[in-house]
Amino acid sequence: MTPPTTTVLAGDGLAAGHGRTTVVPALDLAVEAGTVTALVGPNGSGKSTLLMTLARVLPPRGGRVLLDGEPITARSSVEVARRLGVLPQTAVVPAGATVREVVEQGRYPQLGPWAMMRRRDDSVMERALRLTGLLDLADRRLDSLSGGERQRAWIAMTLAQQTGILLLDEPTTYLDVRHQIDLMRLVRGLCDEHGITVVMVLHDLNQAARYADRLVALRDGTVRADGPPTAVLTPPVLREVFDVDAVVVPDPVTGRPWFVAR
Amino acid sequence: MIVILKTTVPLGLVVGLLAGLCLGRPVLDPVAAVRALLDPADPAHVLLVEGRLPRAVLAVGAGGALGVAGLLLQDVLRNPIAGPELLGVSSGAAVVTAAVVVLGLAVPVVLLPYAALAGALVAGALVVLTMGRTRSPDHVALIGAAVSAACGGLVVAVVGLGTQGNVVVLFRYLLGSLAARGWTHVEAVAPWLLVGLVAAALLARRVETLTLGDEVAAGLGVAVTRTRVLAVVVAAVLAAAVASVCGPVAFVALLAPHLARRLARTVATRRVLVAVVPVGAALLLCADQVARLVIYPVEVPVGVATTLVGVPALVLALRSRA
Ligand SMILES: Nc1ncnc2c1ncn2[C@@H]1O[C@H](COP(=O)(O)OP(=O)(O)O)[C@@H](O)[C@H]1O
Ligand SMILES: [Mg+2]
Repeated sequence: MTPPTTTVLAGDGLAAGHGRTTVVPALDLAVEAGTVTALVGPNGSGKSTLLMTLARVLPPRGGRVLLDGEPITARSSVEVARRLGVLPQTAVVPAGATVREVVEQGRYPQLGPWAMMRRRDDSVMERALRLTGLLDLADRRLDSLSGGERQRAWIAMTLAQQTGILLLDEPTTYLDVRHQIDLMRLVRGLCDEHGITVVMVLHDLNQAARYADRLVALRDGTVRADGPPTAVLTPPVLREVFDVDAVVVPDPVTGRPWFVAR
Repeated sequence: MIVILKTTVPLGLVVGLLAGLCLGRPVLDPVAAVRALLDPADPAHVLLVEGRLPRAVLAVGAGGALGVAGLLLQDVLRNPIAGPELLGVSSGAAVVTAAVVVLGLAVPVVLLPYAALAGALVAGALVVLTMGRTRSPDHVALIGAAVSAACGGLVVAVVGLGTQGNVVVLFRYLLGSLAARGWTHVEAVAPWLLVGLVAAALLARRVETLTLGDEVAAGLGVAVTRTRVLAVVVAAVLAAAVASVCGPVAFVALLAPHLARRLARTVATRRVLVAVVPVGAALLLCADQVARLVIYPVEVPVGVATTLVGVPALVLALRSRA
């Protein structure tokens, strides 16, 4: 018997795009509570566009986004931001801002615009900084840090939002191997220990197969494969989605699928 | 740099205020100035209460307002050189003033600030309306520069029609001036400045999220376009009110936020906002003293003085960016 699942986030006939161009024509996707989903696909396949539309950062061009079963537009954007945190790829580093100041922005949805000079929400901030290994860098200027350290600061900002759902766009970009593994374990831990639902865009397919419960492979804005890693990380899918001729073997550590290009 | 700033801002306010009240013709010592201010029978009472005091008050209010306008624009457009010049409001006010003076329109002097304010707001509204069509902050800056240039061209065209007499009057105004401003001018701008400052304080937290990029701000639950438009409107109202009575005062709006960030040791909008008001006020008040006194008894337009004071200060501030 499988345990009952609840859909926390869904696209229902969802069309997404920018300006006049449609990138995702019509997509149905239901994300179950307490799972880690990896979105994979070639550059320009619409992963970011889809993620931003699910997060209500971009307006849908058709169809609906459902958050906890209700249209996401039924809630105010601040209420959405209390339920769902998103890390976009387009984050701008403000010249001179410190790591702590940037992470503090993640408190906005909880504290609201009227908390003008309120004391910092220290315990939440400290936790976000600790989980991303940034405690020692908290008072450094963000623009003086390496790409990977900056990326961790943005993740910390998203964690400071304390949401039950996290949408992360290429969170491992710029990270060294050590920090990539740490981040994947952090995501896994947030999911397993705190029941947080994660949808993230990943480029490393082996990492996606190892840490995600479910892989969704996108190409040209349509879902080409969707399911557990063993069902998605297969030579036919890799050929169809990525034009890659590959061999898939069991990963020697976990037994999950592991691909090597031919 | 920060220590220097922390002492110079209050010092600038005090010295500027004292110089504003004491220097000129006649020169009074500070005690005599305060006595004249308080004693209606004192021969210098009217000069102080109706002349020097409102001028200083106007400089403080206008300087603070320009600083706030610059801060809002720089943060909301993510452009460190943004200022009210980009909204066309100063040039909008200048077009109306130039037209009134040169064409001899029958606008009572008391109403001139309001006419200029209308011109400034129309120019600002043009920029804000076109903003609705673009999502990019850089486009807003470009549109503003275009409107500004167009108004600038109009001013030159109107001035070209003028006689020598009114060109001199305009010359004063077009470079920005606080000369001969009284309580009527203060009263004309005060409500706008108050509303603008309160609105800026209410917007500051949202504006701060915009500095992280539009998508990050939207992800935090901020209505990005609405916040950007509102902030530009508030900046336009502040700058328009100032331009309507003082003309286009250069540099204060650009410079004050940079100095205030240094002073507050942060770039967080809501914290810088608190610092930018005294910084802008001190800058304009001191620049006005330079304008009044540097080649006394002839007055230099304060716009020239702010540039003379502002350029070295800006270079220093940017050099010390540690
Ligand atoms: N801001 C934008 N404006 C217009 N088109 C965009 C924008 N961002 C992305 N696109 C286009 O949308 C398509 C999908 O992009 P994106 O969702 O970023 O792909 P991915 O994240 O999968 O690499 C691409 O063709 C890209 O050119
Ligand atoms: Mg992308």
